[in-house]
Amino acid sequence: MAPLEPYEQVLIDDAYLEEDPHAEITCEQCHGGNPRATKMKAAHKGLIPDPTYPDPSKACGECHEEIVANNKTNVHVSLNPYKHTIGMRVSTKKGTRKKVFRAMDTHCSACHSSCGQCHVSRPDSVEGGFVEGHLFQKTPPMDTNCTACHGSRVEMEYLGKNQGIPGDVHYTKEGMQCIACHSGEEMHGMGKDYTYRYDVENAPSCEGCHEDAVSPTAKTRTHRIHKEKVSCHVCHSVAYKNCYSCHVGKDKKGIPYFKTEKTDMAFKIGLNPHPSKDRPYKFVTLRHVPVSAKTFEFYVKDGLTNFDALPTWKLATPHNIQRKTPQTKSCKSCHGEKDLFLLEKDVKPEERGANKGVIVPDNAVPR
Amino acid sequence: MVRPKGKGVWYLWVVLIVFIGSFLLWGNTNSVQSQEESTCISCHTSVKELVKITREIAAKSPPQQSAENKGEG
Repeated sequence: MAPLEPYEQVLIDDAYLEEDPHAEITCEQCHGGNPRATKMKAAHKGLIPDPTYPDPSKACGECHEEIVANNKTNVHVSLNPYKHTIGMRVSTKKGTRKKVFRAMDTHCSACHSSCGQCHVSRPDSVEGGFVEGHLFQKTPPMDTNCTACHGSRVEMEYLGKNQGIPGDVHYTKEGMQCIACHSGEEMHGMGKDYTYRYDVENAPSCEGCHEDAVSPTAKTRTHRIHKEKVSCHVCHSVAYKNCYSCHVGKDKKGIPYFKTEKTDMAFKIGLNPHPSKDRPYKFVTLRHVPVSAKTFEFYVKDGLTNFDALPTWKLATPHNIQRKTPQTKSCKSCHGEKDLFLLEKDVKPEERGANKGVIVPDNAVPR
Repeated sequence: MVRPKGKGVWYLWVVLIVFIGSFLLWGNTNSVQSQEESTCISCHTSVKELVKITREIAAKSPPQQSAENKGEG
């Protein structure tokens, strides 16, 4: 997404002053600064560009008390599952852990959200800027906010931007926006501190809408047969993006950079790394995440010595659902079709240890 | 004896309502007025002013993103 022109990023629309109830609050009440100063530098002294991060209680809490109360455990703000996941791979040496977490703060933790970065501005990670002249958006727009961060995978899949691969049927046929499945309640959190994003209790599920598809009397025979054995995505999604080997560091000017080795489009079924009440399946779709044992090598040698603690092929819910896919053509489209499964040969030798729990042994490929 | 007393109470109510109404109106206009008088608003609603200032800032600021970024984030 192209960033806004710098002036557009901070241009307040007259409609905000005339229509938005938030305009009854003066600028300095939320943003600080000096509204009587006539020079920019003096006016911006003590300015708080985003008064909702990290603590929105002063700016939003007076009116939106319940939502603000859950802010600390909101995964879009805390990034807790992400920190936990990387944390599991990090060396147990105290000094090394400190260096890795400091590098994460520099590179990874910038990708968070806040009340303001959903409801007023674009996220900072895409250079920010008002969505609509500072008018508060009850529902954050999909194109300027959700996919601003969830772009290279979710957006490309959902909208069908990956060459030759159709967009998600929920979008192409029904025009459903993110909010149709991902409610405000899910986005704001429930006050529970999750360490794994797929544990979020009020996250959407296919069965939430397609109840009949998984009932014991489901009309479709294959649904009755495969229920609880394979996730919906195993049959109803198509090739999706996998990323590999992200390295972070700082350039000669001291500006942080990242480098990912490659991306590819692939579809891989593997063993479920995290069976749960909501996802009891034996087989699920897996996506390669860009982590590598040397991701933080610029900052510290042997930072991720517990690299094998988690797979690099992770449970995925690709956003490119189709009613008919190559897998749904016939039984034999999947049964015995080894190319669809994550086999040992598909995994780099140095990552086989990490993925031993998700690699499908040759004799376990359904016949 | 009763009539003047009743009228007095009625007048008192009118005065009270006018006073509260004026107070609320004053509070509201005061908030809008203070926003309008604020330099935040006068500057941040002026395209011309913002273009000028943001150009000046851009000319002084170092690049925000490294040219060494490679691949998809």
